[in-house]
Amino acid sequence: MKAITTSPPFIRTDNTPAAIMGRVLLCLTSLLICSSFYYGARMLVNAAVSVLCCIICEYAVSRMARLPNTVKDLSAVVTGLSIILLLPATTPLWLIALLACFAILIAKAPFGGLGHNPFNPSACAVAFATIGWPELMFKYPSVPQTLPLFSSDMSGVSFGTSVVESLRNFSLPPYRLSDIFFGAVPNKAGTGFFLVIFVCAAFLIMKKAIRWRITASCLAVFILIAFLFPRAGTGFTAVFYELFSGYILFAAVFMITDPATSAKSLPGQYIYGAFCAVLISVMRRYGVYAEGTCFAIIICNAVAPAIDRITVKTAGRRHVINAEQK
Amino acid sequence: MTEIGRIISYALVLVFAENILFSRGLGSDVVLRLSVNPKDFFRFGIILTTATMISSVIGWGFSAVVSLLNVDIANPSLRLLLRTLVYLICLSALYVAFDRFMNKHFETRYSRFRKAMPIAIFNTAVLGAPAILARMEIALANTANLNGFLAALFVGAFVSIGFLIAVALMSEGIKQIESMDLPYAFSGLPARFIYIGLLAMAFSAISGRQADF
Amino acid sequence: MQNKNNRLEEPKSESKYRAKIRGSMQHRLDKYRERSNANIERGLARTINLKDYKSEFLSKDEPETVGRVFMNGLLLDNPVLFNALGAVLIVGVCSTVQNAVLLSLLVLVLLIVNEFMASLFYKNAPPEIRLMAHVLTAALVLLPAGAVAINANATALNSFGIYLPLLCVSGLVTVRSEVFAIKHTLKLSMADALGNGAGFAWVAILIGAARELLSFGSVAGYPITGKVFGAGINYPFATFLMIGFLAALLKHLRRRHYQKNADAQTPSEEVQSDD
Repeated sequence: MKAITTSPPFIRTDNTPAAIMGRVLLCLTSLLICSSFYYGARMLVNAAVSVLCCIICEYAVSRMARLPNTVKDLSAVVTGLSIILLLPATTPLWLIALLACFAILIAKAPFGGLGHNPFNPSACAVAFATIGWPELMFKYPSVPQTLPLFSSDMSGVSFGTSVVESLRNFSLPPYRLSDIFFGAVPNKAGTGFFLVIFVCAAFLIMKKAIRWRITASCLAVFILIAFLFPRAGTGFTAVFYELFSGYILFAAVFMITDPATSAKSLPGQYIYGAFCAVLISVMRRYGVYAEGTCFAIIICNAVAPAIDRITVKTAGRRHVINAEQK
Repeated sequence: MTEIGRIISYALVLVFAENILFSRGLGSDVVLRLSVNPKDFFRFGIILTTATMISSVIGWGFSAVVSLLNVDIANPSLRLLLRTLVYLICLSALYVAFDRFMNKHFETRYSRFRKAMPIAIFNTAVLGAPAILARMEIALANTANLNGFLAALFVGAFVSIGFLIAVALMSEGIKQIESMDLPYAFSGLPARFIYIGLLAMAFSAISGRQADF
Repeated sequence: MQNKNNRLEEPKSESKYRAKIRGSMQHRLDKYRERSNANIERGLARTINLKDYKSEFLSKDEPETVGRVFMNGLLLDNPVLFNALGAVLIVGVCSTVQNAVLLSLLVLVLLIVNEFMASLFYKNAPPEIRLMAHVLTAALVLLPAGAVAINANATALNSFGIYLPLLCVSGLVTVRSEVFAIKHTLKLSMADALGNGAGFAWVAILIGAARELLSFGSVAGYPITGKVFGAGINYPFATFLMIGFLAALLKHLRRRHYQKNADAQTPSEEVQSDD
């Protein structure tokens, strides 16, 4: 029998990795359902292919390493879903399968699997796709449309420019603000539904499933930079366009808060979020591709342990100095 | 854009986009064999960076002298090899002089660096930096109106700053990798290769083209 | 209590007992400083890792025959895959099989001559200028070797670009000479040169073939498939990833090889149960 050391109300929260992943999975599934309203059942096919490939790769890796089956952690499913939500809906199925294998086998497995990967696997996969097949990655189908279920032949599909590309050309996007907010513009598959992302963020923060300080500081600094250096429109319109374009909001809520790759110390989380925002803004304005968030995330993940070390060292030293003075 | 703005943007391109470690792979034979002790990294990194910068400046002076001599060899590769040989002889002479001088006057302090000096000076990053300068001089003269010695100083400084940043990132990553529980086949060097590969992938979004040699 | 020269101060009047304590404290201070200096030097030597990444399975009293040294260079202690020595060249140059073959021939020639000179003449040189001597020898040899290669295939050699002179300093020839040839006889050094040259060659050709297949769809000029990847495969990152996985594969195979011969020699590290 366990001695209860807390006080009422006794709210129970499961904190196993599977439970935390399960909450994130719920949010990603809701985004997937929204996108399948706009693009038809093709999104579900994409999701099935991606998740299946991730699960097979993860299972194969855990068999080769003779470790207990890590598919139960649901992290492979989360990786699979976030990959397809970051790609345009017209991505061919073979490319999705390739990217899912890349994410698990190259970005995650060599470093020891869950919790040990130095880089976010879905960011790595999207970066690889952007470099290798840029002509496939920047074609956004206009909404709403029903895409062919299995074939890669996208000849009957009409495409449009996304908000990110308009910003890159310093021109106002030709869509209404409400359309942009509800995701009815050409964009990556699952990242345009900002109302749903807000609700998911609130849910995850309430359940303490993500590190909210990183999200908060990242968005704050990003909004500040968008306000000070507007690209299209001025003032709050510029902020609106910058924030609700591409996948900055998705990344801020789901990708940079990944517990394995982000900063762990409390002051470090604020610094890390701010650094992410600066790097994402720089990549958007001066990078080669219109939406370079995934590359910025990889570089931020590389810097995260340094931020941790510096903040912990400083805090520890200050603590020691204070103790000595007493 | 103003003059200063253009110079700043060119400096940023040199530091991040034309990074000699991530975009061209130079210096990876040293970086991938680094130990993870922070004191050693700092000392070794500073030596490496200074050597790269001095090498760029000397390389500029050297190519200026060579172009005065008007030696004409048809094949560019042979020309490059000859210039490299003479450049290496000059670099070796300078290194021996520096070594003797430091040993005579600052023996105790220099003895800590002495073992690391040869490999910090004779590696691919230090030899590659003046070659990059040679390729960028025309572009630099066009965009930023910098000529001659100032250009060499500018390019050398920012190429070495970029290299220092790259070495810092890699050292951080190697430190993290060493403390991870890697599968046996990937422990040690293979994980470092994969780490540098993924980081180079991230940096290639800044340069966005295969660095033309 | 310590004065400017880091010695403990002598008070004006001191009993013999106090002097003895001060002496022993000074002794301990000196020893501590000596040890920390030695550690710093050792750490710095570890930084440059000249002797590191040696195969953990080779025990010290293993007889070094010509055959064993050759296999060491070829597979067990491959310069590229286990020592990261030739990675710069593979990343920059080996985009086709033709380039890879030419590069391997040049590396072989450089290694042979360098190790020859090192094992015969550079044994007694002071350590600070030994590496410099290796680099200069390599540069001197590279000039005629490059001329011969240009006669054979000028376009391929010109496509090496700035990586051609990097052969002298790339660590592939210099570090091997420094670590091995200085300490061993001529015959073993030649075996080491051939082994390392062959080891570099097979890795370079394999990765060159992979890169050529993925970016141009041909192998050694014979078209096999159409283009598989976009332009992205020719960035350095793809080569680093390929080398990393090849190194992991070889490490795994090497451990299996030594586990099979486990009774012949004892591995110096505990074989772990996970892979």
